[in-house]
Amino acid sequence: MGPSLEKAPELGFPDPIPEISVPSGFSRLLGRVQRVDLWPALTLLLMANPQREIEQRAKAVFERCLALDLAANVTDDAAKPRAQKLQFPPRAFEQGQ
Amino acid sequence: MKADPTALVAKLVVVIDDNSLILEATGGLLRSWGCCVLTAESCDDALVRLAETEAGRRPDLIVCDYQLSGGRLTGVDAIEKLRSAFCGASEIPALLVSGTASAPHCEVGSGAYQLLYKPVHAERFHAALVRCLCPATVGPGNPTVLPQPQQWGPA
Repeated sequence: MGPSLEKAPELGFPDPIPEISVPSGFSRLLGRVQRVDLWPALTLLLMANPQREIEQRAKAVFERCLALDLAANVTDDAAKPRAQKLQFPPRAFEQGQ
Repeated sequence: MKADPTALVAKLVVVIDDNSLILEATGGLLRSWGCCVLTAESCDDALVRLAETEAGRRPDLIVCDYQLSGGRLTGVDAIEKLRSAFCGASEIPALLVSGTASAPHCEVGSGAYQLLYKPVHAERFHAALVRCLCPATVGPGNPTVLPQPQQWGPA
């Protein structure tokens, strides 16, 4: 093992989460539930969150990129000569004038 | 709203767009949904990459931009060319993404594809992909051509 790892005991796993003791007043309210094991819930949370975060970021990037692309398309179309006449057929109001 | 979060898992999706940023963004989103993604800037590029990396595997879905660079080929042409490269695979579902209302609709027949107008929200994109893969879900209340979020030109 390298010296840097030997000198870094803080890199190891933390101590187990202590049991949550419920005060006697609450224990009556909670009935038999006096100990909550947080590890499985925490593990699931840590496993699920990165994937969700990746998806949320991917969604945001996707929507922004497509919005920018649309803006570029609209700008390009408007810059074309006679773009308005080609894009929109004459309406009844304009024909009557 | 997502119909089925697992509907896209392990599906091979070919994405064609001449904009590399769009390719990366679309590829990233599809991968986050569990798809196998192959991105290409042209139809020919897609065919080469399919042969190289997927051993010529038939794509499950094609996602293509309507306006491709140069103006020689549109997304419709690219979809048709890619489909024709796979014998008897005209039924490969395709989604055409367009920024203009000039993109032609083609809802039925062998050359059919779904049309999605920009700006595209991720949830609408997901719903359109699921609809492409599960055409049975298309009905009167679930049209093939998705409504435009905003109207271009006169009503």
